[in-house]
Amino acid sequence: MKMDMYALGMVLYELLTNEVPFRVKGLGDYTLYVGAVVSGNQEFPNKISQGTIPDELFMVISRLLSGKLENRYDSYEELDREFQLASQGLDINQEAKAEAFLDRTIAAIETRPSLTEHEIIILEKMTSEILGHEKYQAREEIKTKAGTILDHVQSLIS
Amino acid sequence: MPNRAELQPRNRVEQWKTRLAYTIMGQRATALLHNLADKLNPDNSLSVTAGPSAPLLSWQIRPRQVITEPTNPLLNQADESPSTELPTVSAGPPKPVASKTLTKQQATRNNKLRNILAITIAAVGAVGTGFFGCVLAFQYQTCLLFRIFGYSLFSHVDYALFIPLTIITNTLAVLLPTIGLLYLTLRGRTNQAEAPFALPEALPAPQEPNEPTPPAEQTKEAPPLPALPEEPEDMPAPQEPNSATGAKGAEDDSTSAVPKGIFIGNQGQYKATEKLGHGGQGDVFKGINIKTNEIVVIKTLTEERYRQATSRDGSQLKPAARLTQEFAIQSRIEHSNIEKAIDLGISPDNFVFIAKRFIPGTTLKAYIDEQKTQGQEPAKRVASSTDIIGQVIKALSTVAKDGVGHRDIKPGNIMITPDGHVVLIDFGIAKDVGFENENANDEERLTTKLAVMGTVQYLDPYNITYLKEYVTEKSQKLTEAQKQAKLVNEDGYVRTWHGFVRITNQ
Repeated sequence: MKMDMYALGMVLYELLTNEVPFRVKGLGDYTLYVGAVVSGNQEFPNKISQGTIPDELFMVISRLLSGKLENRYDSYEELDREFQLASQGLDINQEAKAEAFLDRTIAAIETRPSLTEHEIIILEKMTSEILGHEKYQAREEIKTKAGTILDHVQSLIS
Repeated sequence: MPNRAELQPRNRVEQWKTRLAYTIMGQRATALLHNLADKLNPDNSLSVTAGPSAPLLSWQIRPRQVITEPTNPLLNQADESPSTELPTVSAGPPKPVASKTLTKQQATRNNKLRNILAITIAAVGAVGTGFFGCVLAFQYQTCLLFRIFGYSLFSHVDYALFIPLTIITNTLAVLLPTIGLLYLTLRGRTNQAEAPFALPEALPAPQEPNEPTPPAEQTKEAPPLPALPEEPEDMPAPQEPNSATGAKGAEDDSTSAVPKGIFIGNQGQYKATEKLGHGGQGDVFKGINIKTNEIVVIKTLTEERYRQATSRDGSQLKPAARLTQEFAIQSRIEHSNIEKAIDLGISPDNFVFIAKRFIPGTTLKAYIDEQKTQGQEPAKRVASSTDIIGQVIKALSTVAKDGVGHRDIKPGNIMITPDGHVVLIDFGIAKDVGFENENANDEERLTTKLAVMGTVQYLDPYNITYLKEYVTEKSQKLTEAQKQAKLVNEDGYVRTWHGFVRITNQ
C-alpha cells in the first residue's frame, strides 16, 4: 500500500539525516502541503544531503515521497530490489557496476513516463561523471548509453 | 455503584460476547470468546440470544442488531471447531434486520425534528418578543413624552397598561431563548449518553412467533447488567481511583496504574506488571503469563476511550473492534519482522485485551534521538539505516501480500532489538481489506481530528489527491475507487487514513 511507502521514505530520510524532510505541524500545515502536492508544486528539501545521503538512496527517497503517483514504486518487490541496489552504492571505478547502472537507468527511462526532479538531477550528475571518466573514454557502447540517458534527461528538463 | 471488576469472570465473558456480537467487526472476537466461555464453564454453554434483557441504562451499549444463535454462522462455526484459530469470514457482514434500520431512521428523524423545533422556539422567542417589547417600550416612552408636553396621541389608552406589557414581553424575550437553549443543552447531554436510535421500548425484539421467549428464561440466559445510576451527571468520573486504566493523572506513577486483577485470555492467564504506554486508543502494559512465565505485552482500552466510543452514535465498540482486528492481523501474519499477537480475552476491568509477544529493545524514535546526540560517522549511519529500512521493507511486503496496510508507519512503531533485529509493531489502525466493515458509519470525526495530530508528519498526501478530481467535478460523480475508499463523505470532508480533512476550493 502506497501510504506505507511514503511513510517509509520519511523514516528513511529521518534515519539518514536526523531530520524530517519537511516539518508538518498540525492539520493546517498539512492542508497547505496537500494543496501544494495536488497542484504539482511539491516542496522537497533543497538542502540536499551534502554527503549525508548517498545519491542513489536519495533517488529512492525522492521516488517514495513523490507527489506524482506514477513516480512511486508499484510493488514492494520493486522497492526491495531498487533499495538493495541503492544501498550497495555505485562505485564508478568498477566497470561492471557502472554499466549495470546505465542499463538499469535506460530501462527505467523506457518504462516510466516521468522522473522525479531529484532523480533527473542525480542521473545527470552521475551519467556525466561516467561519461567524463577517463577509464571509459575507449568504451563506445558505454558512451552511447550515457549519451542517450543525457539526451533524455535534457529533453525532460527542457 | 457496584464495581464492575467484581463480576465473575464468566459473566464478564458473557457480557462482552453479547456486546461484541452486535458489531460486525467483533464477530471474530465473539467466536473466540465463545470458546473461552466454554472453557470457563463447560456444563452450561452460553448462547447469544436476543440481547440483554435488563433495561439498558444510559451508559450501556445499545445493541446494533439482534443476532440469534442459529442465524449466526460464525458462532456455529466456533461450536463445531473449538480450535483457537480465527475463523475466516468469507460470507461478509450479516445484513442488519430491516425493522431495526427503520427504527434507527425514525429515531434519527425525530431527533432532528425535535432539535429544529427547539431552535425555532428559541429564535422566534428571542427575535419576536424582543422586537415587540422594544416597540412597546418605545410607544410607552413616546406617550410619556407626549403627556409631558401636554397632549397625547393615545389619549384613549390607559398609559398604565404599557408598564406590565413591557415587563412581560421583555421577560419573555429573555426567558424563551434561555429555555430553548437549556433544552438543547440538556438534550445534547442525554444524546451523548444515549444512543438515540435504539430506545429500549422502541426496540422490537424479533421473537419467534411460535415460541415466545418467557422473561424468566431471558433473565437466566442473559444476567442483568450491573445497575448503574441512570443520570449522566452521576456517572463516575474517568479519574476514578479504583479503575486503573481510566486514571489519566496517574501517568507518572506507572506501578499504581497497573490493574491488579488477572487478564483472562484464550491461551492463558496474564498479570500486568508494568505500564509501558498510554495511547489514544488504549493502555499498553508489560505482563506475564501466570503459568509459563512468558513475558507479554498487554494492550487494552482505556475506560475513557471506551466511554467516548459508547456515547457516540454508530461508532459503538469501534475501539474494541479495532483491537480485535489488530489481533486478527497480528496473529495471522507470521514473519520475524512483525510483532506477533498471541491472545485475546477479557481484562480485569471488563474490557477486551490482546496480548502480544514482548520485544526487548527500543523504538526507532529513541534510536534516532540517541543518534542525534551521539553523531555517528556518515558511512556507518548509512549502513545501519539501510539495514533497518531493508528489514522494514521485508515486513511491509509480507503485510501487503496479505492485503493489509499498516497505515501508521513512523519511528515510534518500529522496534529495534539489541542485536539489531527490526520488528514492526502496532497494527492498531491498520486496514485489512478482508476485515474492513464497509457498512459502518463514518461518524468518527471528533476522535479522528484529535488523532490526526500525532502522525500527520508521516501521512501520505497522496490520500488526498483524489480531492483534485472531487473539486473539479464538484458533483456526486465519484469514481468507483473513491467510493470504495470512501475518501469523500457526504459533507465534503475528505477522509484521510488518519481522519477527516475539510478542504475548500481555494
